[in-house]
Amino acid sequence: MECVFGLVGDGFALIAADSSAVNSILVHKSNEDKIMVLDSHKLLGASGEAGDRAQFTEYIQKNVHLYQFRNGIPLTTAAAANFTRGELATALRKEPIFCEHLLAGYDKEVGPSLYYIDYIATLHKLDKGAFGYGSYFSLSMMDRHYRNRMSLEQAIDLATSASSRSVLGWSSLPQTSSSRSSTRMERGSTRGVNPFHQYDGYVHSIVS
Amino acid sequence: MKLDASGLQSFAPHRADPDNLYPDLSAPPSFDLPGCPDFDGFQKKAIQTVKPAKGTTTLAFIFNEGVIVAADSRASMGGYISSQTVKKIIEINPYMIGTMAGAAADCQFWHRNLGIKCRLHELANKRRISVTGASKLLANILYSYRGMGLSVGTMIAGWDETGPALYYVDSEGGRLKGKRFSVGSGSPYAYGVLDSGYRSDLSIEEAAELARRAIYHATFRDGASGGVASVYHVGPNGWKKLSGDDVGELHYKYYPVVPAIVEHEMADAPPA
Repeated sequence: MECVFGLVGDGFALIAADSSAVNSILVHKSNEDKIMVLDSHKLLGASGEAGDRAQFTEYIQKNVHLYQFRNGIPLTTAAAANFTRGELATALRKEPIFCEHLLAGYDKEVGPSLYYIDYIATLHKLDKGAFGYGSYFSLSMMDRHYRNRMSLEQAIDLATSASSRSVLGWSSLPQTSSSRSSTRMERGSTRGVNPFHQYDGYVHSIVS
Repeated sequence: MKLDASGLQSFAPHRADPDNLYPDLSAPPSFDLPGCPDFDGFQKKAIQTVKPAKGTTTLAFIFNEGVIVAADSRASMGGYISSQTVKKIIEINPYMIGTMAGAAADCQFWHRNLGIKCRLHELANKRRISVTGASKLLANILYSYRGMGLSVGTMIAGWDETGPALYYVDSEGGRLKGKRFSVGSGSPYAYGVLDSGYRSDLSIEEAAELARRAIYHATFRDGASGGVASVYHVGPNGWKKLSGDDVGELHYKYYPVVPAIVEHEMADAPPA
């Protein structure tokens, strides 16, 4: 079932999201990537209504690009988070966008950071965060096992074990982490899922 | 109050008429909305009066030889079967077809509209639009009307410069790229047959038979699906209709009637 979570480690931030496209009782697709690569150092994981998610994350991505084209420098992660929050807040009183976001990024001055933005336009800067049904498992797993300045390997391990409980094998996890130099995407597979469905996942990461 | 229908506008620019003989010709299309105080209530009642036709099975899948698209042909309005001969596979252009599930009018209208946009793209750019582009055009239009009662569940299948392509698009704004989809009330049954019989190295005949079987089984279990199972194939040279079989006849083809064994024959009692 739908879940996005992320955490900040030593020199990187990581986002993981499930990859199922579900319509009531039907699994339409099990390799949908719900993590939008905003630029070389920013990732936006989103969960919520399918249409809103696809349209809104692309809207944010294009605007982040537009800013960079116009000004020659990229937005900082904090600026991108505030921009996203602003757009959600504007939409909230007209046609609300029903999806929740985790924005991970790396800036030269401040290092890695993770922002939590929900559909009522709440903005929080966090070390670890989660959305969706999977958050009931992954939040407590992260509360128990999260340490400051974790290595990327430890973080991916934690993300995988936090996801292995997540909802009866209905979901697989593409994972994304972001740190210093560029986003990286690897294909991985998930564990602890329903043997009937063999899902693949993705690992994105920004590494120095 | 006027409805903004700028989504209907073609993206080719209109040429300004020098003599202004037809001032309305180049204006974006629009039409009057009912001037009642409670528009939402009016809309709800209107939808109740003209209940959209729903209940369908459609499917499409990509395999080595191209894309197979299949559908049933029943239109129902609640319990009433309003037609058994609906064309649910809509030909957008010779290389692209769309399927129809949800409200028939919405699907037909927006597919026709998409066909126009695709042709204009072709004239403006001297090359055919990609399936990716066409499906996004449709998804963006549907998303711009979200929450206004459109009911569309469609698959756009075709062959473009990148080879075979298949997208699922719905009126909630969802747009998924994939190898295998089924849409409509009969889709769970169709998925069951499709998933168990699918291989990427099927021949065209095997693939068409799989699609036909999937539609047949869906019409057997789903009361809202029925009529004729039509099967299309899209290859490098465009789409071709392969078959259209009455599912009633398919039933007797798949399950021929076997003569029942008579256990007890009635015979006249022997005369006393």
